[in-house]
Amino acid sequence: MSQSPYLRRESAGTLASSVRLAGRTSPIRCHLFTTDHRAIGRLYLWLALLSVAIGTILSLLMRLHLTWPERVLPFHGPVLPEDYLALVTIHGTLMLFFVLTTAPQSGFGNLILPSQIGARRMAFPLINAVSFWVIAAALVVLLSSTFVPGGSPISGWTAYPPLSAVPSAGPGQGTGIDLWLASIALFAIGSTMSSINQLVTVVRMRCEGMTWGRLPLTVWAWITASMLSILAFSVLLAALLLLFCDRHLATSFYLPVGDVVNGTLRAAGSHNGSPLLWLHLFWFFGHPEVYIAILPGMGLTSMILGNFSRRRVFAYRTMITTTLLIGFLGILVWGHHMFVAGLNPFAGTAFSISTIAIAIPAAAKVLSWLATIWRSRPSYTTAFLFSLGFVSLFITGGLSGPILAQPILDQYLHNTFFVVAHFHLIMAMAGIFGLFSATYYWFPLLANRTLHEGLGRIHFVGSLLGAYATFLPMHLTGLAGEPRHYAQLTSIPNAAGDLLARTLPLNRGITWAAFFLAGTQLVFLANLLLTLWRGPRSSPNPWDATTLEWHPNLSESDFGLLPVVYREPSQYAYQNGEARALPQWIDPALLPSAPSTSGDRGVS
Amino acid sequence: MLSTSSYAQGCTQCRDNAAATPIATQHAYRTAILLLVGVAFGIGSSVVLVGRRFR
Amino acid sequence: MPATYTPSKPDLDKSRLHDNDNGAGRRPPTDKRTGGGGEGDNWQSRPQGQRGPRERLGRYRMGLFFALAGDLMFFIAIVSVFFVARTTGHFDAYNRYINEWLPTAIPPVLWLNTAVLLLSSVTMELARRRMFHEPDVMEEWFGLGRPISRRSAPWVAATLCLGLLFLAGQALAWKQLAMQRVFFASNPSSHFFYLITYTHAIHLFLGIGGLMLALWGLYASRQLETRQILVDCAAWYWHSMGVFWVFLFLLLAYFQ
Repeated sequence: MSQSPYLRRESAGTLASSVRLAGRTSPIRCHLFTTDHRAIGRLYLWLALLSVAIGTILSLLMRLHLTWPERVLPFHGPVLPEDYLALVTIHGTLMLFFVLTTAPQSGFGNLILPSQIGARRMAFPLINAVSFWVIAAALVVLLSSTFVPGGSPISGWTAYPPLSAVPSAGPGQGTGIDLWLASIALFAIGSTMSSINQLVTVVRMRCEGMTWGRLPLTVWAWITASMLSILAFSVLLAALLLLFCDRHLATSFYLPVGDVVNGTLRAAGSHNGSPLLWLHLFWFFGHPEVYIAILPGMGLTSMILGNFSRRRVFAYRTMITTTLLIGFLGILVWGHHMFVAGLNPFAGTAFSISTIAIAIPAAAKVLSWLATIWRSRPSYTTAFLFSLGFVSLFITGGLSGPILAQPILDQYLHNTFFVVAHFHLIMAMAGIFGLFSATYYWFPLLANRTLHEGLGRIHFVGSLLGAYATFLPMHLTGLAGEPRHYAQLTSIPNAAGDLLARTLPLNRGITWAAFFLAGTQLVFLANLLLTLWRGPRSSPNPWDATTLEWHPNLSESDFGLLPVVYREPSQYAYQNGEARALPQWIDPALLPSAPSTSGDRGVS
Repeated sequence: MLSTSSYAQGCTQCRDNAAATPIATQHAYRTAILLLVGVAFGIGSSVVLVGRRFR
Repeated sequence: MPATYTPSKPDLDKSRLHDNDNGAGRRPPTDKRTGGGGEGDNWQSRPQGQRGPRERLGRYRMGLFFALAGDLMFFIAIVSVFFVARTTGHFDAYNRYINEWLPTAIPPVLWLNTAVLLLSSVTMELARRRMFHEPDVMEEWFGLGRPISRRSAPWVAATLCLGLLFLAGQALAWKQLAMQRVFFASNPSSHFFYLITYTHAIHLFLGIGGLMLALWGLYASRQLETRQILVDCAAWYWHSMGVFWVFLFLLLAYFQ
């Protein structure tokens, strides 16, 4: 890896950011404490990889415990209910914040975004580095909660009060949740800084000719997600601050009167608060957060489907609009997480309507993806396959969205595994498929090597089958009444026990599928290590892509000429039924003939 | 499929809670929601407008 | 004096060879209004690094404004909780509806503090404008001393003093309330009084840090544009905190 031109480019980047250590940069300086956006992007990806590994192991432990509750964990002993809830909490927090937010938004955002807009670097390299280290500190603080007395918090990644505000609510609700609060506050600050950086970079640092209409959809997704981050994470920070006051400064923003926790009536002090307030503030953050996680995947899917089917992305301008529209509507819909939380029925109706309205831009995106590849003869690379998988999972997971968006149906389904199935398909699996797609597609830029396509295909097929086998049956157990957050489904005496017992066979199947899904990821890890060890060198533009990050002289452009952009991405010239890529940077004057570059889709 | 045990998680308590909320509080929630949404939309729109200035 | 020098095409191509956007050697931004949107004079269509003297300044300023937008959301979230908490009550054991909210009497010194903060905004604006005063900027660009730093530093220092005075006044207000046995935990309304004044004070401490950085920069930084950015960003942050304070203070004074 050390001979890769991309590493040379890295030290050049450090030079450009006025560190001036020509040639004598130590590897630590170069890879760890650096202000170069590519190195920082790589650090984010390593952080996300570590988090996703831990999060996956935790989820497998959860499945194991649900299916075989009497099994004793080695080095731990029997899994108590609070242990199970701690697993739920840390799994959710790791996956939501440290994987689905950092990897697509900050990881690939740093690696790819500047070169995609023709900028040499981010607008504020130092702030970029600081935000990574703040987020890394947040991860350390979160993981350290396992080792304090009482262990990790047990109130889920949403930390609903009053249980999250009262230390006597459970073992992890003492120091554990204080560390959780600190971790998430750090994460909010780090993410806000990194979003500001990305937003300014895109607004001010685009190269000549890179107008808004010519920006790749990935960049549109990144800036929409950045805008959402700035709005949402500040509100989360305020919510965390109030929760902290409730815990330590004897206030009662979220604490109602007559609150009975663990059999004790909490009487002291004024308790005028309402947990509903936390829900409002948290989901004002939480729902945009979902779009922060998924928007980059949506943008990338458009670009990859267009690139490998040699087609212009269908309705490019409309796709830009829908990206922004999803961002704006995403601010409006948070109430649908609260239909069973005592929300005013009037507000419930309003939020239901706005939630169903967001299906319109989402459906427009799906139509564009399908129209882009319709009757084309795509090259089925792994990146393309994972994008197809993204579309499939997005549709499957999305279709249960309008069901849950109706308060009446949500009353029954809200606390069941149906919701777990919904968000794991549309956010977790679709998000991860987007990430895999990005990894296979951009790996030549990451490490100057190409991941093995055969292993990639095995990885894809296994992941797709595993994802569906794991999460589709959860709809059924949810409909049958399996509740979320229950540590155990057996040994419950009454009718509920009978009900849960009937879901057990299916649950066993889900657990096997989950192990299969996780096992398939070992193929990916093997592919990653093998490729890094002795993978084939990639050519400068192996996918024949049209966007600027594949510019052949990008490594020289650090000191050389900045590229100039002449057209929208995903443009192809069609001659004799053959599609020839017209990269964004090729001067029209240099083209041999003047082929039709307009929006015709070339269905010959 | 709708068993009695799943009713325990339903929301009769929450509905009663909402019904028992005084009108003034309901108004306050509405104000707060509109305030949050309004400011967020204002900021979002101004980001878009600022973007348009830098073509 | 080449104050409004517009580079020609060969100039542009030559300078595209270098990463020239650190502001050294180029004309620094001034308060002189230039450009009328004439033909080919649109700075935005030029390559980055060549988009006029205000490019780097504008970038930092925009980053600051995005950060302040997030900060605004932070305060808006607290204010919306304020509105809800103000009206929320509960039923007691005798089924009576109780609202425990007792408005916190605003210590009169807060009016004085507000005046001090507004005054500090004026001094900060004077400092900021001094940084872009064209004759001084040009003089310094030609290497004739450092008139910008010399003339701006006193105003930044004045702002710093006024800011510290404001914080001292806030501390006095907290002390007065404590003498009336009104503490953070006393009442829902006092929660908000302290929460809002504390969070605002923390923001002002950050602002004081920014002012100190700017003051240090005025003496230590050799690049005029760096100094301009430091003072400009500190000033906009300071103004925003002033505006936020007026808004929060009116809320506390009239909407409890």
